Amino acid sequence: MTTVARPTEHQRETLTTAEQPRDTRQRRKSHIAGTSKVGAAGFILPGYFFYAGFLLIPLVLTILLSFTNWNGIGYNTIQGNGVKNYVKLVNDPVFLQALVHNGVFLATTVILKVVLAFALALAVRRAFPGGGFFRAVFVIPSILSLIVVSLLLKFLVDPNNGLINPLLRSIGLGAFAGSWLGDPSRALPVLIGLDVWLGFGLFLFVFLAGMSALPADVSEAAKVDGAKPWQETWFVTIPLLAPTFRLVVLLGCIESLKVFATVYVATSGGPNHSTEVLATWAFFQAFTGNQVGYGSAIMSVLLVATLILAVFYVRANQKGNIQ
Amino acid sequence: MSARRRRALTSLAVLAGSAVALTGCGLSNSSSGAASSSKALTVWHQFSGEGAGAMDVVISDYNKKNPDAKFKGRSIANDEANTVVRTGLSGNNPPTVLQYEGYQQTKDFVKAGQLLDITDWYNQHVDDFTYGDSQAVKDACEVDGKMYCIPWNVDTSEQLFINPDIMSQYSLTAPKTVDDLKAIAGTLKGTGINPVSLYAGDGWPAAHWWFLLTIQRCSVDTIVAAANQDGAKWDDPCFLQSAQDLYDIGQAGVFPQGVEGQDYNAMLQLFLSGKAALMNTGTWFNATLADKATKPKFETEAVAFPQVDPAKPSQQILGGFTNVFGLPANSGNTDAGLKFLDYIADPANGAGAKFAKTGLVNVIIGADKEMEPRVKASYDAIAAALALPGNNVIAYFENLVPPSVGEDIMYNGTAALTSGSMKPQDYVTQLQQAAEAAAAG
Repeated sequence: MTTVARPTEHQRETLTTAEQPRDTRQRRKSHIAGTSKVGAAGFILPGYFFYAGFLLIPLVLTILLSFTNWNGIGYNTIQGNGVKNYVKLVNDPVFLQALVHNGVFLATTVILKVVLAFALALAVRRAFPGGGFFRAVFVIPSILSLIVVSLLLKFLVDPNNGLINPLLRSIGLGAFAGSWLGDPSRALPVLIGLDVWLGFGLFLFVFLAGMSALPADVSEAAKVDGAKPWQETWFVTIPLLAPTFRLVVLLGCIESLKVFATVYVATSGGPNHSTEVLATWAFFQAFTGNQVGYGSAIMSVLLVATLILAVFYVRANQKGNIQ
Repeated sequence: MSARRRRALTSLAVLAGSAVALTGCGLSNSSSGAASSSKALTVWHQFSGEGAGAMDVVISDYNKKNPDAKFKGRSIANDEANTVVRTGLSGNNPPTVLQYEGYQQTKDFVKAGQLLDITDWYNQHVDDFTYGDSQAVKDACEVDGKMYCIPWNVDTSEQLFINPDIMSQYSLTAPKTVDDLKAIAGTLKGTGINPVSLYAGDGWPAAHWWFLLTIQRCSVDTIVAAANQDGAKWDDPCFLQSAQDLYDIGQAGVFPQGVEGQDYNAMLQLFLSGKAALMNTGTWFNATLADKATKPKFETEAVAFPQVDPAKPSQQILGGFTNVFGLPANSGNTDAGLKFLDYIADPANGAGAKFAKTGLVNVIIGADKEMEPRVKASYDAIAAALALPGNNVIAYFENLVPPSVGEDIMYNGTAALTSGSMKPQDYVTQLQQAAEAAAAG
């Protein structure tokens, strides 16, 4: 009877699959499959723990805390209070005001960022002298620290010690000088302007990336057919960039819903809640108002709004892919 | 890649993941209620500038005498303190010794079981403190008859700081009445100089103006009754009158343009840069004046806050023990904390004197000998008010009411009054509604 010698470790490593004995191949296949799963899990786990520890667990805890009246000072004071926090939301004029502000923020910043980024992407997509410089200049605001920029803004618009009012007066626009962040009618538009300036650069590059992936033959065919530049843009470029537009709009909506740092540093939601947004109101409730439960309820509403947007995006994408 | 190398990398990845998981799960060396543990000894405080320097010196001196139990200080910015302290306390990572603002914070922390009862300790050391057994100290530190903190510095806002160079340039005299203040605004109109430096973006600088006017229109007892919603309401006539006073002062052009848009730092900058004749803020500003980095080019003076009715001048004081030290109950090192309190409360160690030298009104016995005349005047004014019969010293109002009333309506509403964007009746109505909602829970 012929016996087949068990291959050595070296043979398992060096023989090709076809050269290896059949039983060895079967053992190796399952061995390889098992090693791959273990290896994959091993590399995914650290990322998973970070994801769970810094995103999932806080998210779940926030939702759970929204059903309590916890004051945030000691765990022994956590007590459930049902849906009282959510009932309180409906009757809270500042919450409703903040919701409106977030809506205004969302609508204006998304439209302005998308239009500005797309227009500039059209302008700089083709190579021209200085094109690289302009692309760099446009993206710089998006890499600046939000805190630093907000503090600088406060200094610049100080009516007594700042630079904006003297500048306006020096160029004959003194009628526009005044209180910027201290005027309830101006403060929110100023913050919207800041947010657009900070964020359009990233969208510009998303559009440029999308434009670079467009098939050149479609544009050329349009030119051959006599399409003018604006017609090419409107009837060819924009429809082909539909997925990019959807992505940019979704990102813009999410960013504007969770706006916090610029508002908190520049105005803290003032004057008298005229720039209050959901995140700043939740922060006040949790860390100054001793109402962590209520603050969590506000953030849960923000979460639901973000999820709704994400669902719309996914459905729109699926519909777009089918078409 | 060899199987051996794959296994090694896999093991490393799993180990790394486990380490992260264990760290994330918070293997804290919980030592709730323990008198001593191996945790680091820390003092968290909100002093800055010269005050922070004094704290560093006190800690350093303590450490030299106690090399086996060294403390480390941590200065927390005032506007971050709410977040940092709450996170530390609730995250079971409190300091050994905590400096905070007393009053409502004392009540909140005690209710959460986060402060150590130091009644016995305080009773043994009460004579180390001026005003040690006063009602004002008890308001800051006592809950249900037990003491949970010690007074350290007392602050009052009963003064206007003056730029004498501007006053003499425009032939102005220090205002004794609110009408004098409005007259100064008329004189300075169009000169580019602001009568008063006030930026109410943080809320409390404007609120302090209203508090000062309210003490003159109402009385300390009425204010306390309104805060407790027991015998007075925030929309009573005297509160409406003081809100009207603040509104009228704003309409007279006393405050700068954009009063609601900037913060306390910008307010200091406006005064220290010589662009405003007057500024109202607390006695802590003396420490800013003593700091070489922020010392102005002019010699500042301080005068009493103007009266609304010179025929009936008020003797009552807005101020309080908003610098207190307490011991977190769950620090694990309460013994070391008590020892630290022993050290700083002992006049012989000079800890209080070090703070007094920086311009702060410290209340350790003997510290007043180190105070500059301007600071000593505030110290004496508080002593005089405490010596009068009845309750004549009241803490800043936000310390007496829930945050939804104080830090929300009082701050935002008074800031809006100064700019004229809110009417006095609306302000007091909102204030009373907020108080009722807070009382209803």
